[in-house]
Amino acid sequence: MSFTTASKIAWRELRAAPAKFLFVVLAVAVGVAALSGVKGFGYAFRGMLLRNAKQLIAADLQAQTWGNISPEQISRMQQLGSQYGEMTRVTETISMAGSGKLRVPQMVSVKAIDPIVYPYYGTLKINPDKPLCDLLRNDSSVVVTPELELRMKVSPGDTIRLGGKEFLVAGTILSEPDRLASGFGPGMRVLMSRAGLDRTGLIQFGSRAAQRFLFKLRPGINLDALKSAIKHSFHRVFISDYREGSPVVGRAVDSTTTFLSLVSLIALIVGSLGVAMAMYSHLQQRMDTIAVMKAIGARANQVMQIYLLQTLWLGIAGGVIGVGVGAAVQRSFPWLIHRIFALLPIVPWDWSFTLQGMSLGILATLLFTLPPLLSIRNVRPSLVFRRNMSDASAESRKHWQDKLPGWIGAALIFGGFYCIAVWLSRSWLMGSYFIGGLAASLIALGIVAAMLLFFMRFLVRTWNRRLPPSFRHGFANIYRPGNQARSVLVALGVGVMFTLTTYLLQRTVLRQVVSEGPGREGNLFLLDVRDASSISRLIESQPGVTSKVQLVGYTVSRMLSKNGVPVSQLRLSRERRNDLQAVRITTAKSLPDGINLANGAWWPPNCAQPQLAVSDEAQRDYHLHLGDRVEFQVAGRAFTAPLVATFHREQRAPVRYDLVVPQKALEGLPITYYGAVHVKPADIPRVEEAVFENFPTVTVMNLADVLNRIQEAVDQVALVVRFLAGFAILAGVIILSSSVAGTRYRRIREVAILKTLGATKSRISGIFSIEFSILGAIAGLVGAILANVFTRIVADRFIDTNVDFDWPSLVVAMVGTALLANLAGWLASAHILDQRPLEVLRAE
Amino acid sequence: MQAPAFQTGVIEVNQLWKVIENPPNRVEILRNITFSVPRGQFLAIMGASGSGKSTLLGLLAGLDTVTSGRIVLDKTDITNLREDNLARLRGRKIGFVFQSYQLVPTLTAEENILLPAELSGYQGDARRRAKDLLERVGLTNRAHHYPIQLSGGEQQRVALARAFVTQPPILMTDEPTGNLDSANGQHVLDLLLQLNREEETTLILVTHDRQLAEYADRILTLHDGRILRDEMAERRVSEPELPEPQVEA
Ligand SMILES: Nc1ncnc2c1ncn2[C@@H]1O[C@H](COP(=O)(O)OP(=O)(O)O)[C@@H](O)[C@H]1O
Ligand SMILES: [Mg+2]
Repeated sequence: MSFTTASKIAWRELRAAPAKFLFVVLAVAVGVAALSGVKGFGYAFRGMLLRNAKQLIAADLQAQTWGNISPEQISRMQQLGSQYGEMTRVTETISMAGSGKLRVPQMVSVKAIDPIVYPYYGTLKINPDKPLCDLLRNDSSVVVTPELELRMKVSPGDTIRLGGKEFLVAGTILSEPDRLASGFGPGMRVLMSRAGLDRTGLIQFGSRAAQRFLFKLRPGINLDALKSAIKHSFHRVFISDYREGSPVVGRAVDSTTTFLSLVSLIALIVGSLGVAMAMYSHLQQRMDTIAVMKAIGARANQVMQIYLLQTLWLGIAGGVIGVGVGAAVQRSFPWLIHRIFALLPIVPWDWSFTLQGMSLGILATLLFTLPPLLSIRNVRPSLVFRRNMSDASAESRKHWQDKLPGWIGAALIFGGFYCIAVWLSRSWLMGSYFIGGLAASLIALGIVAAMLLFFMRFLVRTWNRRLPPSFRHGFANIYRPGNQARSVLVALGVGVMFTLTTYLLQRTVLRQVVSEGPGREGNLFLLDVRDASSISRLIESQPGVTSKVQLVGYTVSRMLSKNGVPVSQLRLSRERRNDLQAVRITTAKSLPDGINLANGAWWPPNCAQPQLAVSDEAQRDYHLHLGDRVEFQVAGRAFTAPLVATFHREQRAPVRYDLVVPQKALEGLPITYYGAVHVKPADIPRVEEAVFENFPTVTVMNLADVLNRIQEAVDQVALVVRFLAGFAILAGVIILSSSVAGTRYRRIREVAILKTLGATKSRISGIFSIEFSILGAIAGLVGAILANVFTRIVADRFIDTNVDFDWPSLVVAMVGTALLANLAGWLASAHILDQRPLEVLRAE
Repeated sequence: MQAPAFQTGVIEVNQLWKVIENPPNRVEILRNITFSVPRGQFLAIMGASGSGKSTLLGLLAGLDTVTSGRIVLDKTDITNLREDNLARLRGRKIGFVFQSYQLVPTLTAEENILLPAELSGYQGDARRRAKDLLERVGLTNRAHHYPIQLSGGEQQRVALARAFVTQPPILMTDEPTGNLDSANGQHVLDLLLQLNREEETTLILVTHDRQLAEYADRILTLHDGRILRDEMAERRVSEPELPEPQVEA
């Protein structure tokens, strides 16, 4: 058959039932829209990162490190800088800041730069529009972000206090080129000169600060040589150059878009399932024509060509519309995630994913339509005699051949979507999890659907006369041929499942943070504490403080040897080996809460002898035995500690104890403390003030603020996920409508017959409503059960918490989905009730 | 091409059985059917409704699989042919006219007529031939109408033209006038016989109507799946009035 004839038939068939196919196209479009919106945004963001790579790090190359750095390391970087071009150092940390107008201190990001050379690339826009070196001329002026000005009620000309020193606000930062490279810290930001930072005294040994060495390179230099030279100078350093864009940000964007695109893939799968269903019922109706064509000499392939073309067009149409809507989704994305990626740069519209999004839509459509298309082979031409001649003997002879296309189709669908999932997530494991979970839910939904159909039939058959007539008809409608109740259930159920799962997980995460999070230890957190005893004394003397201050001290050491053997000769895991230069040692007086002694004995509370207790993990990693003597060096001082105890850390221990030494044994060494205290909420501002007054370098965080921040972030993520999961529900609803539209003719006839038999309009609408409600309620029920199961699995695996079955969600999902199903069903059966019976029956 | 008549038939059927087994039911639809149709013959297959006529016709055209026995169509054994090869063979050798017209609803009259030519890769000028056939069935002005825009009789005339378009050596018809009123039925029948004569095809006509069967050279009567009678026109008591004497090749 020529292509023109095939397309002629294909096109005319589509045109003959536009409503049916419109729904299908929309279902695909919804999936493609979600996917191309998410992916497109990710691509655009990535592209933006690459194009503006130099501006985003304000340099050709940056080396970032988080530990303490020595003067030798700094001079080594300066030397490399002059060897390859130029170098400048940027230091970033977090601190409390106060202002005259606002007594309660606020947490701000502090960034120290050299105003003469920074930034190498990109521009720092400041109001007033003066050179940075003029504004930050001395060590007592800063420029700040508008957010800081707003929250701290200051404006240029006012002063703020940092580390107990006054600083003049000299200007407002309008844009900062390497803002993304600074991580996702607080939006209240202070930019100052290095001299200014030194004046604050914020940076001391053990302080949490990030150092970024920015290099501006002479043309034609060997990047790799420079990189390896930098790597040699630090035990842990993160290097990125202008060729890579912003790797950290890029990865964050990647993992976000990966996750979201898998969510969108579900919408696409549900959508293409809709196409397959529509195609299936369409082919059922075309059975006669197919048989005739075969009888007059058409080969199966020639017939398939027609329906393949149809599928292709539907896929393309869905793809085109979807990509269009996807553009809108992409545009709404920055708005959706503006809290996660604060100060998001403007991301231009990127066409690169358009084609891929469309191809995915078409591919998904084709995959699902494959089994119905292949079943064209099985249409017997003897159907032209208006009956099915396939007899048992013929069937048994062709048994496996007839089933083969079905199996091939299923395998292709499975394999195809597995590949798509792997491609989208760039991970075999993730793809497997995704497909596994999806397959499990589809199977569960399929089984439930089959059971429902069986049950309805059973009910109608056994209870027949005892059922009220509306129910009898409504039930019977569900298993009427061509109603596709099964697929509707599966599609709607999957949508409900995903939306509800994200909701339940979101709530679980928040509940977890509130109940088992740091709240137990106190509601006011202290970081970067130096003088543990005086701050404890100060806080405990404040009104409203209801507990002792719990502080845990730690220091960062180099591990030198074990039993006299240098660590370089020990067999260690890669991770432990990399950390040998920065082994974190925690101090403890007595056996801390949340850890259980396994072997040996803990030291007495006032012990000042160096000795060591380790977690069972550390014991295994370092191959330690009781009595082993381990040598450490802290801030230039070496000491040897015998291993006296090993312990097991409980899952919910508030501190991640690994290597522990007696608190007094490290006296005189730079120890940093962190901890918490219980304060009556009303008194918190006063305590914060007092701490800031006396210990300006100590960071104080209020539990309520932290929780707010976490809640904001979780809400934001959940909103995005739900937004996309909503697309899956939408696809399910569309499928329901399309299935109703597909049985329209039959419904019209039925309504006509019922009317002639005396049924009122309301009786008939009752029948339909019962049908839609049952479908919706069951889909909601199964979706909700699955959502609870998945939430439990995820919570158990990844969040490490137990969740109880959420019964109210079941009810809400059932009622909500039933309502939705009624809405969709009634929209699709518009005018059916208004048909005049005589017209319909005469047209027979 | 011109095989001598009566030596090897253009259709050879040998010990044909069609049994449908749906345990515990076993229906013997056709039992041990053997006959041969020489080229150019006009054969009517007669019998009461349910006697197995349509089944037999379907088997002859390879639309269904036999239970046992052999069918040779123009020297090709079709009993073990694969589905697609059967379709190809049908496209080249068999024209079909069904009781319920069976036009492709999404194609116009002319496109329907052209379809078999396209499917089988007909060598001649299919368009010309379609125009010509449309004219011969008197539907030139209906060429661009869709089946639903045509009356039953008109649809069946289109089906007739479609059956002849590839100049198949064999024409099979199943109750071609069954759905039509007598006037329309007569018209279609006249056209069928006329076209058959002009195109010199072997014609198999399935009918339960004795009057219709009387036009044939030979009548095969089925009863309960068996051949009850096989009579030639000469031996029949009442000679039907043929429009023109049949000329054997
Ligand atoms: N698939 C089938 N299963 C069972 N019986 C069948 C099947 N197909 C046809 N039959 C039976 O075979 C017999 C012959 O049918 P058919 O060939 O259509 O007869 P005719 O065309 O002479 O009316 C009928 O009794 C019919 O019921
Ligand atoms: Mg019949």
